Amino acid sequence: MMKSERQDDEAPFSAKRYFAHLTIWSAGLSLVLIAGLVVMFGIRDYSISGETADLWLVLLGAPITLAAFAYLWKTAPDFTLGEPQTPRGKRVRWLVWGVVLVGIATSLPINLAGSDQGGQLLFGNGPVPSRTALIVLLMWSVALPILAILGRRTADEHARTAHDAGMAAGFQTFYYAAPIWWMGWRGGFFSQPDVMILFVGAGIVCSAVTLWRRFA
Amino acid sequence: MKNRLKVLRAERDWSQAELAGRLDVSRQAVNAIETGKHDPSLPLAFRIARLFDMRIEEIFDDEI
Repeated sequence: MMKSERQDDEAPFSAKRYFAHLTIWSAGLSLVLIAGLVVMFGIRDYSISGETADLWLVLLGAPITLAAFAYLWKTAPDFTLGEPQTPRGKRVRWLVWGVVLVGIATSLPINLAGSDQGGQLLFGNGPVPSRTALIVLLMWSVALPILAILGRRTADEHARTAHDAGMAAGFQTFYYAAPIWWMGWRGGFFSQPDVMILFVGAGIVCSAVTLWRRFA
Repeated sequence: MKNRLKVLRAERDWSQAELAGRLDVSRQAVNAIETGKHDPSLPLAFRIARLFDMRIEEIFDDEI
């Protein structure tokens, strides 16, 4: 292939395009999985009731769902997050999977324990069953620090710089918001400070700045 | 800081991902350096210079 041809063919990496593709593809996968569940329920209902409406649901829904799944399979993003196929890039991808698994291992016991309370168990300040709390504590106190250390060692200097800027912005948010809220509460202006709201606020600022520095 | 990274890369017909792989950094890092959004550290600047067999000041210029 000629040099000029290759440069014309090769579109430069665009973070916006990459994450738009990832987001739309993920939304499509969610819809297909939901459609698959509907078809499965249709099969179950038809086997129980034998109603024609359930049969039509299966006959029409199954091929559409399979075709949509095949299309998604063909158009799947590369999941490289812009990392080259090097040993370091592969370690980054393993770490991303590690974070996803810790997220699932943390949220699953909370959701199972609080399935009758909606989001109250996760976002409230009430007591949590000891067993659930123990699993989450293990994840947050052992697994997450290990992932954080490995992530820091694996990231390149651009990612580390972006993360440092994000952490600084997040800490500044906490540094100013916490005493203002605390003094405002003592002066009778605000409700009692909630440490988790401060933590989530600082975390959102940290993530936003990190992403902006890394991909904007 | 201005640099000639994009030109040097194009001369060798390398994509950003290829250059990133040779430097063991992410594609975003190469993009950020090329667009002047990120100034590389001294160790990375030396790696870049060695890769292109040039001196650092032949690639990076802080006076433009």
